[in-house]
Amino acid sequence: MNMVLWSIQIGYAKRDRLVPKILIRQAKEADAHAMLTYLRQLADEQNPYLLITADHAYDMTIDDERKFIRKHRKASNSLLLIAWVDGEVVGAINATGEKRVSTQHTVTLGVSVLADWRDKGIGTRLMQHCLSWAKSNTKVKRVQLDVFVGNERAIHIYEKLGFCREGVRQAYYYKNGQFIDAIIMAIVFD
Amino acid sequence: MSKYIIREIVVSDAPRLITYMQELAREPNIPLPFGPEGFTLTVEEEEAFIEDFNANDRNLFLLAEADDEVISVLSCRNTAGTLTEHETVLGISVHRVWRNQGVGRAMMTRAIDWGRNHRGIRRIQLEVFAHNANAIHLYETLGFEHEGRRRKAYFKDGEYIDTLMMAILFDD
Repeated sequence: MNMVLWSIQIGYAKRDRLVPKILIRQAKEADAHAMLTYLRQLADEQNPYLLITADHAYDMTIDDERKFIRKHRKASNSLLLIAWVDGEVVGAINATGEKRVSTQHTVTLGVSVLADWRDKGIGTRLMQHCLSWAKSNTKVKRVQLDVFVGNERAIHIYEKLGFCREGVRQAYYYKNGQFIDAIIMAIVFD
Repeated sequence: MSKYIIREIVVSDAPRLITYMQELAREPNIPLPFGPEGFTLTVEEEEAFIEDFNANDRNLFLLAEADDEVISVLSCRNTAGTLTEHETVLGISVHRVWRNQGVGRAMMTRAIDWGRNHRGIRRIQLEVFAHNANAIHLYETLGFEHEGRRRKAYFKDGEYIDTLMMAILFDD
């Protein structure tokens, strides 16, 4: 799956001004540097809903990122997609499959988009590609994610895509000195 | 019924632990997430696992033994994520001969006491097969709260099984 999955002019063209082109494709090992840069940009935005800390983003090395990409390319129940604009990463989604026989039908999603690129449908597109991959993957029966309580925009998008709330883990996250509940959501295929 | 003791697992328990786990994995309809592969760690691997596991002070690894035989194992494994260092995931099993005699409750009570007295632990969570009524009842009476139901979370013996999420929370 190395082809371009999605390529479109985004936003509304104002007069003759060119609008940037977004491209979504599967990550390859050569993307490790761009992905790491992206991760650090995300961390620097101080988005309260981001599931990693800035320290973690800066502790990661290119080699860690390369391993992460390789893992997602090798496993038939995993997928890592990147959204690009002008050679820079603006969004990404990972669908990470489990290894054990008892849970290898379950994949966990992590999706993110840079602040400047939100509200343009990039996250939704990343999710849609991931879900159609999951649906056509005979191994995958369950796609799950967790999201901070209060992240209503994200929850709304997930619900529109068919995710159901399965529960709330109390005080699941600790971030910026506070305990925050996590909402557990999933799509289950027949 | 003879007496048993509960203590922390050490590296030298590896062979006995493997014997116990292998037997458990072979038990028909055991409501635990063993796959058809059973329990496959070698002694060296199990030793390395115990050493590594015990190196994290937010993990807890307990066994109960009677007449030099392992009759129950409990683990609390600290969640790896960077935002979840205050929580730990509990797993427990009891040998079939010893079920319904309070061993599970005694093990769980030890774990809860440990969690409550550990400054770094805020919550212990667990998952249980949705049809395992006895276990769910035990967890409820120990103070675990229901947090939801994960549909088709496990695949075992040709079918998908829902699990219930439960947790007990500690104040600072």
